[in-house]
Amino acid sequence: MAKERTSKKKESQARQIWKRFRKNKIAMAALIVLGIIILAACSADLFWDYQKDACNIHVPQRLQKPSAEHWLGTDELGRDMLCRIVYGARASLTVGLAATTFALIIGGILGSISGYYGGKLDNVIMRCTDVLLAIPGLLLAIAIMSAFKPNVFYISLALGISYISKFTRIVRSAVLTVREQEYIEAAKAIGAKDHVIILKHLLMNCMAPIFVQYALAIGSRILSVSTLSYIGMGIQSPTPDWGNMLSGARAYIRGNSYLVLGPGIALLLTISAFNLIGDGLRDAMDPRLKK
Amino acid sequence: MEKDTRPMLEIKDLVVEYRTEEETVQAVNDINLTIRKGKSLGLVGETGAGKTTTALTILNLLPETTGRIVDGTIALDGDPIITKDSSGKSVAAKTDVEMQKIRGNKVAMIFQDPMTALNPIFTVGDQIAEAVQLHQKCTPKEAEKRAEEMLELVGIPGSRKTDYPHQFSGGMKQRVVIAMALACNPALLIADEPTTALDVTVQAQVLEMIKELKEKFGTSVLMITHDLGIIAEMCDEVSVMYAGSIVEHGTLEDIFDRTRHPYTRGLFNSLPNIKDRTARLKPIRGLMPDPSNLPKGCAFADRCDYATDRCREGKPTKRMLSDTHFVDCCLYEDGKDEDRL
Amino acid sequence: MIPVTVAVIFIVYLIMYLTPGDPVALLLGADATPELIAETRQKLGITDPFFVQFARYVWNLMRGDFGMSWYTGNPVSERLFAAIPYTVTLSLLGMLVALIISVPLGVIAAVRRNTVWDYSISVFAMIGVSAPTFWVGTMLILLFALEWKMLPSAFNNQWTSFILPTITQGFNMLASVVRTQRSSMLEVLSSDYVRTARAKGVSHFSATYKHALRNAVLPSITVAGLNFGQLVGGSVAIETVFAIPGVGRLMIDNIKLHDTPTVIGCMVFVSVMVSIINLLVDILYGLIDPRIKAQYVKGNKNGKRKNK
Repeated sequence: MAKERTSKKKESQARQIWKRFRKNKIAMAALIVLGIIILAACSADLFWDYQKDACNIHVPQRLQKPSAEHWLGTDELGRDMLCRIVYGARASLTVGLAATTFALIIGGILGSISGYYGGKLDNVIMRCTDVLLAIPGLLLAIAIMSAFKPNVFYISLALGISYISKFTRIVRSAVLTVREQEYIEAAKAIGAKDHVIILKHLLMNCMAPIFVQYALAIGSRILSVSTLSYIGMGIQSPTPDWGNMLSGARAYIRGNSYLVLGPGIALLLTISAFNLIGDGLRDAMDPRLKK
Repeated sequence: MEKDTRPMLEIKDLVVEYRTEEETVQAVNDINLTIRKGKSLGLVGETGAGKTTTALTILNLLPETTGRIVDGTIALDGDPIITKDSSGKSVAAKTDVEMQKIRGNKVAMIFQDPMTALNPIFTVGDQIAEAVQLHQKCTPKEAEKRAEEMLELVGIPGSRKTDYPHQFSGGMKQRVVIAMALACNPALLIADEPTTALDVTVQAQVLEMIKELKEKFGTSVLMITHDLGIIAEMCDEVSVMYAGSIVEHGTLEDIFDRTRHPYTRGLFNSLPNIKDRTARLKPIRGLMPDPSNLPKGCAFADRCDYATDRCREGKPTKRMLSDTHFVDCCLYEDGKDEDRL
Repeated sequence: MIPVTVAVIFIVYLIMYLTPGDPVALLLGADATPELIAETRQKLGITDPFFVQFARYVWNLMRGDFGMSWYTGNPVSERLFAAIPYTVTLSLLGMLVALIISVPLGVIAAVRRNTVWDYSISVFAMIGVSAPTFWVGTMLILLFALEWKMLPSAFNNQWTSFILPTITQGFNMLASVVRTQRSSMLEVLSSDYVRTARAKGVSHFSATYKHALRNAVLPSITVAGLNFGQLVGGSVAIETVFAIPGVGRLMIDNIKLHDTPTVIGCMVFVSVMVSIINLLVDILYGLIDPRIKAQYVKGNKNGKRKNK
């Protein structure tokens, strides 16, 4: 059988994963698309003036169809769609990254404590995640947002909190599978401190599944932030965000489909890029599952 | 040897590859096997030597997307399974529907890991009865009754037919698998490491049972294993497989008493010696070569104490040392049967 | 399930308790006298300590009393019960449609993997998990209501107006289940027991649809259960898109009005509904998988079955 061969290749695991990832054309395409989106979001100021082009209202130019001057047309308040879509990437990406990272840190700490120590502490933490998972994440975020001002910081916080329990679960199960392995026993036997074991040995060795989840979670958070903005509980106009752009376009979609196509496709591309990267990472880490 | 008996299974010049986008793995390299009716043949070798691939090829159950039969023929009781077409290419002689009538009926297989070999959501009775109903004209009632009988035969109370696989221990599951395999009185039983996953005491019981059933029904057995003890217990003839090739073949006595190939000797030296416990084990050094990149010469040369430049330059010549004893090693290229190890 | 529900209510209640907003100002308007304000506060019970308020809320809830709306002054249950049928119908229909379509699609993709079928289904599923539901809804309105004029764009209580919201609501779950079903089917098809089945002479068809499918459907059920929360959560946006007077819409409107009792009522209802669906999923799982069923039976009888 063509089972896993005990080959002499001594490459580090990360390099092997990267090598396999690079062969995955779809995942690489997603990485490139994401790179372009990030680059555009960073260099937007080279092409536009944020206040003047993205926020200020130009009523005479409202609802213009795509043209040479406005490639994607103008919105219901006369602002250039392309400009707002590019600036909109900033909000989405910032919140997506911040919320996911926050959830990962808190969930990572709780999950590794829970998985490593087990027992009563584990029980308590797991019951808490049960409760949090019973509330739909978006509704929890909405509830939290109702207590705060809708700005990037609080939105990230709300969307992060609503994802903590998922990361706690993922990190815990990753830690559980690694915990029983011999090198952890060995580290304990030579008297390593608990936090050293958790940080150095446990977490380093369960990076793989966590990375995959990290990529997927960013996609999911961006989706949530757009939904929050769409229902008016997220990023507020005039700050451009794909969600609130779609919300603003609602009354005008008849005959102006370009208003929903632009921001919608931007969302679709960004979120699927993160999802495809996550999928690609998972395939690269576990080549057995590859089609 | 009773030369008058016709062969139950005849494999000639079989070559099987696994092809993926990244590499081509040569799993089986030009092997020949013959099992006579009512006899049992042991196929010994390390993990990854191509033993399971050989077994799956007989049933035409290689993984569809990757496995490919490159060359060779297989005949079952004189009936071709793999044959050559007019251009000399090896093709399946039977359609999948025709093969379905052979699988589980004429040829049955026992798999290595009983823990995963049974479908978790069907009762064991149903799983045995399914095999019966597929091959014999009978009502569901009769099939169920037969399943019950088979369970009794392998030492499980027939009343447990309504239990699910998770309610059985590993050894019991393997008995169920065996009951399923024998339900239609196969002429050939392929046992792929049937005891590797079991406890030692259970191993002995399962082997004893296969042996009894073999004698009772005159079944031919292809026993795949890496355990020479099982071979000594169960088999009439032995083939030693290494990196997809058969390096030595002979009767039980040929292999055990007149060991000729350095690899076979290495397998014996890897076993602990009960009579002389101070003797150190002499494991075979190194690992099997990468099957996607086999060396030009003898595949065992790098691990062999007797290897010369000759071994690394080209494949050894296959030699019959006696009527029954075959060896594939450069040491015996003069064809003389003397111990050179 | 009940302790989890109480804990959920606690969290929701706590968050909303901390939310700024003065019910008295809402109820009485700006020009009320201080005495009247104080009296109303007393009457509403919001001067009591948090835990007293919470205990009273749970106690009332058990009798079906969701409290009084700060905005209308009427019982919350009136508006809530008027909204519930819409949300329940759409969520369950969405889930049903998602499951009915996604399982066969996932199976086709796995059985015909690396063909055009597989690729198109996979692309479709990737769009489904990546596209925000409200955008999908908007696009459906654009195409089916405005462009082709086949279906109504807004909700009008006729069955035709259920079609687009149902598709929208189920779309995300549909895509997740397709992906799960495809990969679990692939895994099961290469499992030892399917090989065993083939080795005993089972046909390719029967091995795929009898032996593999029932096993491969289990992870999909799990994913569908887990995603149900997300599906219901999505109703806040979908009900906005299609102007449906459901629970999500009620909740969003009342958050903006700071009508805390109504918001809590909505959240509690949704959480309970999610818990019930998850319970049903567990039961369904047990029906299909004898290993799970055995766990329940064992758990209930304290291992009496051990010496069978």
